[in-house]
Amino acid sequence: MKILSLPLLSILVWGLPLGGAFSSDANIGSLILRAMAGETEQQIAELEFYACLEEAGSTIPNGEKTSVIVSGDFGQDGVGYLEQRLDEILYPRIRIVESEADFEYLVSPIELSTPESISKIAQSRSVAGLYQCAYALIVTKRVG
Amino acid sequence: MAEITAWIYFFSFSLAGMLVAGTIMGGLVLSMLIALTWALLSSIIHVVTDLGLLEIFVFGIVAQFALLLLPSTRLSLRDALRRKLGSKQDLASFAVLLLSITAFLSSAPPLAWDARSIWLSKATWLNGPSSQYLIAQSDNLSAHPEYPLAGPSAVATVWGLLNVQEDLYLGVGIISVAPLAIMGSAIVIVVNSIPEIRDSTIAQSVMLIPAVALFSVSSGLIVQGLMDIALAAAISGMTVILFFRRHLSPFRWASAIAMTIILANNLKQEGSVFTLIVLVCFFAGVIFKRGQGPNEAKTFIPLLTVWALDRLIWQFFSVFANLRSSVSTDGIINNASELLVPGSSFYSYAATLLGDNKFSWLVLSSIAVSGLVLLGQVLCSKLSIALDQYPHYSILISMFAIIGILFFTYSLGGNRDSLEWWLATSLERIASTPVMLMVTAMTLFVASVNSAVDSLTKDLDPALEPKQNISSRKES
Repeated sequence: MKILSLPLLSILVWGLPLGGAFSSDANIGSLILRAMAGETEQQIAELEFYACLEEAGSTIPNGEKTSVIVSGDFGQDGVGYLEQRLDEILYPRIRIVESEADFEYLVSPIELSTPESISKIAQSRSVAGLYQCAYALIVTKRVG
Repeated sequence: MAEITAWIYFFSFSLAGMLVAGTIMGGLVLSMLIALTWALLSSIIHVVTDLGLLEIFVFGIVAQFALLLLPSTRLSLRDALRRKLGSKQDLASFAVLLLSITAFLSSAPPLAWDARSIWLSKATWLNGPSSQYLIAQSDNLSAHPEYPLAGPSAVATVWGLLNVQEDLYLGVGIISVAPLAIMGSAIVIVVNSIPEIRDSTIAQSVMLIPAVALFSVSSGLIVQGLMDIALAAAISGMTVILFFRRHLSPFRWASAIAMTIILANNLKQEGSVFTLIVLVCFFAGVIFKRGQGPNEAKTFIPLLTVWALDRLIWQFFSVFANLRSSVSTDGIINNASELLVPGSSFYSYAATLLGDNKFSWLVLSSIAVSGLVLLGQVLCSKLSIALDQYPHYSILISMFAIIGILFFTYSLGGNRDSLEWWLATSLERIASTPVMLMVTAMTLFVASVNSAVDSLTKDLDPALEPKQNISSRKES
């Protein structure tokens, strides 16, 4: 009985609940192979995007309060998605508030801006930083 | 360096682990469970008192050495250290450690939504003064403020040891180890306590099936940095410990089940409901069983007390940190009356749920597994193989009850407007608990039948001493 129980149990475990709609394409071997293959191009691009967002925030000094304003169409990712991502990227170095902020961290799709408008933004005295991160333009401004 | 630090953290409680597990290798496994449990307590102490996570961690390590002041502790430790390392009895412990290291090394980049924006961000909040966490809550920086802190606290403690604000890759690795630490601990405790399992390679291999299954149960989500898989492991681990409770020494049983209950309550927000379901189902199984009910029922009173005390402490913490209540729970309470109104929104959402391929497969699989176990019991009965049926019923009823909780959460809860999005993105990880219970139910059934057949075989051989099988043996 014991000799039969191991293969029998394995067939039941993987064949019954896992062979259906719950994907059984992941096992120890496939996970190890995936880890050895390293990050995909898409993953690298996404990680670089977040690193860029964080670097854009470095123009705001530690401990300052900033509001985060995301505007425009970011496709399937959505405004809410980016706003939540920025919450975890910027805090706790910078405090994120909705009112009485010292700075603004503005994100908009790059295609909405023209070279002239970008040049005008860059010349503004209140602008602390101007970054392009993939498809997004980030402007950090001192308020008041 | 970062990876080594994480493993130093996990093995820091090996002394206490050896006292529970009874062997050196088992001690390393149990150390991971103790580290996670201590991390949870640390998070609450840290936020309430502003003591640093590192200071509390060091206190925990020192406190385990204080246990050596007790003569009984020194004796237990001596016995554990005397057991030969690398013998057959260490197979399960070695396998769990190997699986844990594999999960750690295979962990994915920090990109999964929940991993990055919920669990690792909470770890960042905890990695500093307590005001960092409290300000984040008051500034509404999380869509899930009421989520518990066991996982984030373990991650934050390791970041603190490295003196970094955050290391997201390492955080995902640490969370990937948690499910194996918890499930593996339950397996190791059972293996080390029951000679018939400990001395058999095949029996140990059967018991390891749930730990191996964790890797595939939710499409490999174990390496994504999600706490859902750790919760699935904790609930399944609980059922293993409860199933074999009569074979464990009182100290081993009390330590293991208390830590598992506390962790299961505090890995994800629905953990406390799932934990209570399992406890009540096993309690009911004992009550309904004739002849042993009243005495055994008494062992569940302390367990329910541990559950209630943990919830009381979390409630106190929630008030202190001004955590918002769960949108899902509020929605269930507010919308419950729709059950009595035919054609209401509840019935529309229920139809969507039951019409979804994955959810309907979850229900059908549960029925199929239950049918197999019940059929197996009937066959055993006809072959005069003695099996204690009630623990198996308890696990199966727990599984259906948890699926029921998921069903009502997403047909009545506050987030049901996003049901189709949730079904497309989240069902696999949320359903990992009932799927792991299916695996555990089948594993324990096969283990019980093996043991019962062994007993029957030895009883038929006049040259051998008759033995009682695992599922019906009383605690010695």
